[in-house]
Amino acid sequence: MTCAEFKELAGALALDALDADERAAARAHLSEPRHEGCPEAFARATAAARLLSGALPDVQPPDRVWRGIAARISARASRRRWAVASGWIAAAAAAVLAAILAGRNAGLHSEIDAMRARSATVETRAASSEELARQCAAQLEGARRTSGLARDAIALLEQRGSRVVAFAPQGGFGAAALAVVGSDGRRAILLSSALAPTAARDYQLWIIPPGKGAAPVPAGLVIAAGGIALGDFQPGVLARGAAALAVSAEPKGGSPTGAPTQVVLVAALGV
Amino acid sequence: MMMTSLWLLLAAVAGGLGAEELIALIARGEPGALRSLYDAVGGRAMSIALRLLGSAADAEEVVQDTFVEIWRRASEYRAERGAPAAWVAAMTRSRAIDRLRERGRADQALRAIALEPPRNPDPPPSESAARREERARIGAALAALPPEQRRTLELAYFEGLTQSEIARATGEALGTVKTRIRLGMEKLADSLVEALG
Repeated sequence: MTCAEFKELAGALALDALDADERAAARAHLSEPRHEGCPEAFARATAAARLLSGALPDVQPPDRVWRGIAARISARASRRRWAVASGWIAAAAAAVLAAILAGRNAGLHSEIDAMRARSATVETRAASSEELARQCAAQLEGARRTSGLARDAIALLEQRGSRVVAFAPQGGFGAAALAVVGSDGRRAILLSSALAPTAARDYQLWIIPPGKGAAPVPAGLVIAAGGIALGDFQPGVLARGAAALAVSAEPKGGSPTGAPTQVVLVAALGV
Repeated sequence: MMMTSLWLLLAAVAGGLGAEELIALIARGEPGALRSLYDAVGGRAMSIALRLLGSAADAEEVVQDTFVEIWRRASEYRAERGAPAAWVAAMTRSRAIDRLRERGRADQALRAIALEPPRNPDPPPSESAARREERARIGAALAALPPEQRRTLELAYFEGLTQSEIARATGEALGTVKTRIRLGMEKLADSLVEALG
């Protein structure tokens, strides 16, 4: 196949609309060392083909689709090296799970096994974090006893359909965090090892409402309990809808202006 | 970070740019990130699978397979090859076409012969303004093509037919089908890639 012939077919190759023999010939041509713009033509056609998926309105899959995905990845997740993957912050969530496992009756594991499809999300976290959960269980168990918020986080994690979202550090901030979000999106609790307030600084929670240009709404301060920092995004504010959650570093007592002073963490919700 | 940066961040959230960070987290083994990506683009994946396969049960299986594959292969994602939503859609489409080819093409060709594209579902009430705008731009780019080029591309992309199958289904000469696809794809690339790619 010549370069000119390939470029005639690049669009059809990108659409996966070539017959098997033509497709094989076109692929073989692409792997040759010298070209007159063939890779570029194919990349451009591929980009156009991929955009076509956006022409259709989205169709929300039924809940059972996610439950099936969660059940299938839980088996894979248990084989991953969680410690390498997630570090200490994941350990905080793992430890919350350990508290779940410790705090509930001994039959929880078998209950989860029996109701795998129904509780797939919770099981995924449990399966992927057992090792660090053991390491951190004692630490979080203390938090569980002393903090009503930790207990709320545990209850939220147990809730069917709840999920964990990761915060992305902003502006070079050197730590991360997770939030447990309830199934209805009306409750979110932050977990972190690195946001403990100091004598001079508080960390403040913010809810970013949907809609371009919507101003962040203050949603409470981070507290520390048992070595874990926790933050309860005010349910009343969250109930009005949220595009993202954020945390800012503030002078003691919270933002003096009503707007975030220095945003350090952000998590998008349903981007 | 001051307020200006926060507005930039909001724009990123509205534009779906945060999905790249989600894929990085998935590659590190964070199931919550996979759930967030699923919430963001699962509807698009379901839409393309349903359109290609015409069966909700088959489409659901393909969407499941796709997200399990994403969980396994997230580290292979490269931002320069396209936005995460398009990457997920391409994986979904590829799996759906594999399933079509396993199933055999007779029923598919029969559907195509009717030459009437299935009616698109209504957009969900929760559709974001950015998504609505994206859909409108792609729809406008398709609508700007000559009708025969547009329909040929639709048969290839949304029905999963090869050029030969399109020629058989429509009664057009294979050369004509090839020309329509080539011209149509070049025009689409001209109008879409710089704007949205």
